[in-house]
Amino acid sequence: MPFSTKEKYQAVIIKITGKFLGSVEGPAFKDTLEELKDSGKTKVVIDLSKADFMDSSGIGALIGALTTMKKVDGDVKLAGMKERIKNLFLLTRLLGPVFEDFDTVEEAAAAMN
Amino acid sequence: MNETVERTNKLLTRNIRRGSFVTLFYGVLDAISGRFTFANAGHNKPYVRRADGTLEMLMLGGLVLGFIGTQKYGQDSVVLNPGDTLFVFSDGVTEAMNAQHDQFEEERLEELLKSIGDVSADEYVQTVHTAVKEHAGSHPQNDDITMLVVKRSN
Repeated sequence: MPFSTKEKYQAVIIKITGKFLGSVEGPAFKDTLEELKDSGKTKVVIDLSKADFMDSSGIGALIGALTTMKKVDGDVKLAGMKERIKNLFLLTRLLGPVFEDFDTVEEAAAAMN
Repeated sequence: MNETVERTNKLLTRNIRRGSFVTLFYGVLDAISGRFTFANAGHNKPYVRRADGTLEMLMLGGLVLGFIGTQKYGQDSVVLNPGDTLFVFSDGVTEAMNAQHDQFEEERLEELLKSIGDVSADEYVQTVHTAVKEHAGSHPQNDDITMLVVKRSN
């Protein structure tokens, strides 16, 4: 599984490694987010520092995560995005109006607390 | 033009499935003057290949549809002169992967578009499609590969 979760900085850190394709990882990712929501862990940082590639369905999975958590007054922030993935977010203009990104996980978590 | 996109966005924002979004490139070509007016909501930026082989990217961008109902969109225009070609494509072209998960990428597409000679719109599609399939090899296609090519005849 190219993502793992841990708790740090009073948030849940989901670290994505390698290639994140929503068409492949989406269902398991969605299940993880639902479990976190059900257990009241609604502040989530997606650590993308080890993610090499994401496609539009991967972005869709992250949007699903954001809307899931926003509905229960939680939040999802992005951290450590590499240029290749950032370009995809810039193309879709999702950075700013929809997602906030930070250089480090710690900064992203701090922005929520 | 941009009002059409804004109304579409407003409707989609109300109705779209959670976590989904839509990219849209919308344009109107004046066949007499060659002026092509367009708006772009998060879609891959199309190219205009000039008759002399130079490539221009239509840089205007915007937020994908389905998020913020009140989002404003801009519009821009470009003139297609005789021999110029407009190339619009979906991300299935540039994100086509081979077995090593290397994507086709914009750079490869740009080099290909520059190197294509004075051919018909149909040949543009065939040439790019062939190159994308060759790149992907036996790796299964994981997204639609869509192209729209408009060439103004000489």
